[in-house]
Amino acid sequence: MRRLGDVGTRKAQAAFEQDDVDQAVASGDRQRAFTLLMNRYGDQVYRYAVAMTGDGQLAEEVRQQAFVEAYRDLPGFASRSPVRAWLLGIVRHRCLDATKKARRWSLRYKNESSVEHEVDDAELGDQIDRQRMARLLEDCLATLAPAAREAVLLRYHQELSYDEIAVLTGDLPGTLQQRVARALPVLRKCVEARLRPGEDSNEL
Amino acid sequence: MSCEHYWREGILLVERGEPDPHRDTCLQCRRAHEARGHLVGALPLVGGTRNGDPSWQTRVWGRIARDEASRARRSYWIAGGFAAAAAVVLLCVHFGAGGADHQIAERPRFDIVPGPVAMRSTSARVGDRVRISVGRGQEARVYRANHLVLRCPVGSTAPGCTPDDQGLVAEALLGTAGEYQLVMILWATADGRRGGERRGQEGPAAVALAALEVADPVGTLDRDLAAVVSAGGEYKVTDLSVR
Repeated sequence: MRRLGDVGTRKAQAAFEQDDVDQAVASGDRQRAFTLLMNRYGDQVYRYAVAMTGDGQLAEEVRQQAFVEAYRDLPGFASRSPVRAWLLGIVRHRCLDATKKARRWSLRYKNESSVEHEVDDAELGDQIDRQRMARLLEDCLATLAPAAREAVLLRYHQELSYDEIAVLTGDLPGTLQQRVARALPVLRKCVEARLRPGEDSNEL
Repeated sequence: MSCEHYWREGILLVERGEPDPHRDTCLQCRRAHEARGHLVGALPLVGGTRNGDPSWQTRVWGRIARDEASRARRSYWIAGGFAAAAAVVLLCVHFGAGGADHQIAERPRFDIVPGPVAMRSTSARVGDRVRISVGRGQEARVYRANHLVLRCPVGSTAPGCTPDDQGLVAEALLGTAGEYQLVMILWATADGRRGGERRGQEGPAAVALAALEVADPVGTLDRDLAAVVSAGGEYKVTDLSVR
């Protein structure tokens, strides 16, 4: 979880990263700028794509396609927005496309929903390892409506502010806040149901 | 009895960054707020244990190289159309004005040299030779089915490579039917200009130095072109069908 004390440091770091890429773009060194982008944001973009699509292969395809587009559009980027938000904007569109395609394919040929990971361990609470928790959340995120999943992930996975998300999605910050506020209890119930099948619990 | 205030209203106040006086007086809502904290705190873990394809960056460079190659091919043909039209106009002007007795040698240029059994055709035939003439500071390569068969770096005197006063000429026998790719590479000089551009005092040596900074081709077209782009070079690819 992000701590309040980290906010200043994160802003300073983001500004430094922005300057770095801006300088490379301004000096016409597109390849250096692009290499910086790939090294810095490659993993982050992949994790976001995994969370959005729920599919590692699809996420890899999204990452590669998004970076090819970023390379093409880099000369016209011109620092109109923070570089990370600009990149996430591209990734977001590719995720939406990939999800739509996958859903069409699934409906037409497979006629089945996404694979669910069974909780095969009775350990609860603090004993749940991070990997298992991540898996549970991944599955539960897939049960949210796409717009809600996107808002939750941009806010708490990518840690963008509501104003930044509003620029990316074209929604009002208040709408996004409500969307997240409605989605979190659904997510919580889903996680609890998978942690404790057959029980009704109030705590995560 | 459980208090549902937090999940109905309190959570929206949190998202808005507004205070929730009820929470201060309600133990259940404080616990619910903690649960929300755990949930939100775990969200960054999603996807965190996966790394994806370890060679994804190479694949991205490969895709970029392919995109640029197809774009270059398109613009090459468009430019070729304009160049042909311009050439016709120039020839008309040239002969209309009485003519000069020198020939303009355009580079880069690809010529098919007919083999012993010459046939009129738009594509090359087995037994023909392809001759690639490139300017100073440019490199020529021939690939068959995307695999390297001839490489003539700047100034090379290797078999099939002949340097001349305008650059070099690469010549390869088209011994097998199939798809060939003729590649001309422009290496950037230290000051960022390309090998084919007009330069002042510097000779081809500076360009050759730039070319040396890139690793030798591994023999696969996409990977080699990606390496060229990574090293700051530019390239043109022409496909040739040999029957």
